[in-house]
Amino acid sequence: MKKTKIKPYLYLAPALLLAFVFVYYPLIKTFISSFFSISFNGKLKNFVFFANYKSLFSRNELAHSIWVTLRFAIFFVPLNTITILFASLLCEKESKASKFFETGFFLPLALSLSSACLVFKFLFNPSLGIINSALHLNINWIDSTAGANVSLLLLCLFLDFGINFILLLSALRSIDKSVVQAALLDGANVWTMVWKIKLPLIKPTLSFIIFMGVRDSLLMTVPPMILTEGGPFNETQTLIYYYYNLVFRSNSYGQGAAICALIFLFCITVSLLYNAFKTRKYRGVL
Amino acid sequence: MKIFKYIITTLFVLIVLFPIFYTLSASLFTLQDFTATPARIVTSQLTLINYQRALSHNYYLRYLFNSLVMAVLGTTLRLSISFLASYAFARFNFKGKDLCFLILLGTLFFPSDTLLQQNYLTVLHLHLTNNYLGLVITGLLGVSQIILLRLFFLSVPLSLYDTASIDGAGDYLIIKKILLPLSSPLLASLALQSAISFFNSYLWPLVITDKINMRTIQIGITMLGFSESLDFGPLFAAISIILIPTIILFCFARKTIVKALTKNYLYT
Amino acid sequence: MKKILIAISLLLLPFALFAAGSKETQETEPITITWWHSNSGILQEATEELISSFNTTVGKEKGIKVEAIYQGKANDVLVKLKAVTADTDTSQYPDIVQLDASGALDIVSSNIVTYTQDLAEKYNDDLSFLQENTKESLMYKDRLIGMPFNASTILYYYKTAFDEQNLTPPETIDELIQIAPLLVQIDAKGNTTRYAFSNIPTTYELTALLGSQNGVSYITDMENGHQGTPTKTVFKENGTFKNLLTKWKKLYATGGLENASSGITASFVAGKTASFLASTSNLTTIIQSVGNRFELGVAPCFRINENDNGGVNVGGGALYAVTKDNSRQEAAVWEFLKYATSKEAQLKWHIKTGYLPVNKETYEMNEYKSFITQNPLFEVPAKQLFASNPKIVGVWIPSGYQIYYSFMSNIKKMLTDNISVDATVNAMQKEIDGYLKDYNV
Repeated sequence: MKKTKIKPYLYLAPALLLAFVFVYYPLIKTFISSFFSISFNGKLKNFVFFANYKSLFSRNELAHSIWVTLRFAIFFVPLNTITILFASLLCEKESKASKFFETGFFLPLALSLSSACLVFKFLFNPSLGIINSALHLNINWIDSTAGANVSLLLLCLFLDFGINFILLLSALRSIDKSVVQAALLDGANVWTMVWKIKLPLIKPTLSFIIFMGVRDSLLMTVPPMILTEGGPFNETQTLIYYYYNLVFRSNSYGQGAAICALIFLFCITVSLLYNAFKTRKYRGVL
Repeated sequence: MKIFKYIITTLFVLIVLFPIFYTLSASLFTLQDFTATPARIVTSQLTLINYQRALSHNYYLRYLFNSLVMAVLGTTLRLSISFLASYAFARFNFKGKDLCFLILLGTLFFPSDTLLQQNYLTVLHLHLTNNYLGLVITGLLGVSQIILLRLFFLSVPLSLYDTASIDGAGDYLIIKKILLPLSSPLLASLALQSAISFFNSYLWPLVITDKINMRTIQIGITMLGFSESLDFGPLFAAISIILIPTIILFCFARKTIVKALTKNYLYT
Repeated sequence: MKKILIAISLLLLPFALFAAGSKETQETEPITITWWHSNSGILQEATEELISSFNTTVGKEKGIKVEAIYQGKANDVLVKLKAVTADTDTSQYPDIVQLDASGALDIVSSNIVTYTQDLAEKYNDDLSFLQENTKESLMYKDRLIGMPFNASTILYYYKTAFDEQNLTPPETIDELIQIAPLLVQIDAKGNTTRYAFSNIPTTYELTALLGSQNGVSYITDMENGHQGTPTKTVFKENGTFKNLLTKWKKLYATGGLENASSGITASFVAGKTASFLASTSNLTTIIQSVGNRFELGVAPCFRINENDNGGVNVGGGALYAVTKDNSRQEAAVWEFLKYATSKEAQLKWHIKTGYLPVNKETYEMNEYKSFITQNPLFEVPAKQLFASNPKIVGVWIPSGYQIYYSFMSNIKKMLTDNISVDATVNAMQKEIDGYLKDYNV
């Protein structure tokens, strides 16, 4: 009997160990170190109380990076959802042709993250890239605020195609045919069909995709790093990329830790609020 | 009406796939093709020299190998750890069960990129830099997998477990003979997702490796260094070398992959 | 129980695998020294040639093998160096790192590196072979901290567009202002399809553009950080920045200046800008990229004031020896440093990359002279170097990235939002003094 008592803990041990060593320990350590000045190789020097936070807020780079991130998310999430929805609606009906289209929309997944960023970097090169050339445009995709943000947006839309498309497509295809039939008999047109029938029925998957889209766009780091390197004058410097620059380029470890601490507080607040919101909702229903 | 739909869809697909077409085409460009104005779509002369140059890079294949090892090792460990943890939650009642679950759940709320610096220091002090284990170690905790697997294990009828226990089977046999076969579709899909995620990881391998023979392909591609001189040829060739087999794999295994990716969402 | 054993063995599996990826044997006779660098493309090829020629000659003789590892751009090398030295296990450290001016401040405020001067004195070797300007550029408090290796100066790239108009490269910025309208090409819709000049001056260009004024000028105190950590900027009080910006505004007013912060080389190669400023280290790369599309020319960087005679500063990078408390490694490192700066090695390096030889004797070699005759473009930076005051040095500052950004964004704003020169200089002084103060806290 005693053996059984230890077993579950043993099975859980690796996971718990990882959680402590690689999540909670760095979390707390980062939080604490945000109140210290940090030396060349990461060792804590002096207790400086809120000095790091003050430095962080004294310049508008932090606010700017939050703004850049939000602005990106606001454009990205709806565009992403609509594009993928549109593509999956087009492929919904299974046929010989749809197999071809499905594969097509699925292929962006074959190009790995950094490869895609590098390819786009050349495609959108203002002087030598094909986009400007073939479309007879003269937009500066890397060195202008609007241009850089749009090329970044297009890159991320491309990157997100693979898996989300498949999910949405499967969700659409698993809609109960009888419901669709009934609606058709009632004379529903395409618009009503999509908006009033299909979308509500795939709500869980759709919510999941939207949620992941929001999460990914808020945390985005690698595409701006490779495509625009923060954009002209930090115009594509997202929050986490700003953190990366602070720590790995400017060696302002203290300020980097401060940003982390703020992000943690934000995450905790959001999840607490979400919990409160959920329970209230259910209480209302009950 | 239907033709209209086909035309639109075709155009859409072509636009979405344009970067891929271009990559393949550009891998055949000469240096002058890259700097031509107006920009070229097809190469001026068919030559495989870019592929030669990419492959002759001493470490290109090594980078690829490292990424594959990372994907396989990481996926195996991650699944094993998640499996064990989910089994513990699903099959046992023990003190602190809810607390442990909450602890694991809590990790989902903090973006791992912000823990980058500290984790690097931890791994450095553990002497695991430039090391396959070090490369995967921060990705080994898959809480969403634990949640999904736990749900699955709970959905297995209790009778199955009881019959097995009566027959004297311990955890090992239960897992081996019952759970593993039952959950294999789910495991397959989780494995695929993990593998893709490990293969694509960029920031952590960038930070954790400084020995050239331990770099992964994601970092390696950006460091092939050819792009500095506007000579993108070998870079595109290097990308194409991975791209072409992946495309072929996807085309043939499309159905299986699709099934695998969507399976686990039936449980959400 | 068995379950637990399986779990444990699964977890131990990687330990068997990781042996493949980590430590090298330490007991074999030849010592391996690792060199972290940021040389890519043609530069990387030249690096590989250098170390293979060392490994097969001196290296073979003395049992030393050099391994060069590309770590990304110069800043990335520094980042990695800092990261790895957070742990005291020196076996993970590289033996040589190649860093540029952005890393200098960190070098002098830590004890990660053994100064080159100290090594020379320890091994009783002479440093007089080093070209004066390159040597001076790496002095800190009058001691040589690193071995100059890849020296470059700023250069003005141009040509065919100028020939079309029968123009010669501008010697002063006033001349550039005059010829700019002649070089601009505008299409039917009124868009500029070719600019005369593309640049937004930032730390790199400013060191030369400001430094050459009044014989020698600095951006910060402490002789741009070579005599101690900079505490404040001096570009306002010495009036150099005002001079530059006043003329820069006039240049912008001609419509021939493009405010580009990146992609300028591509722009030049594509014919969208007639000229630009860049390092001599890009020379061979640009020659290759331009091909026979048009004729390429180079000229010394233009002066700001008519009577500026300071010349330009030496940029590029240097090789630093990482302190490892192992005299065998140290001796091996010193051997390589001597080899890399020998006159033959520097000649080969120069021919392949365009970096200027740091060894005085290279310039005397017959092979050098015949190379120059056949490739006159390479002579221009050398002449510019010899005509420069060695005291004009690169600036060693903390928060390099943020200061770089501060210069760029303020100057750009001055032009696009038509802010006054004085206001701009004041703004930059305030911001940068702020960064310097933060660092000195």
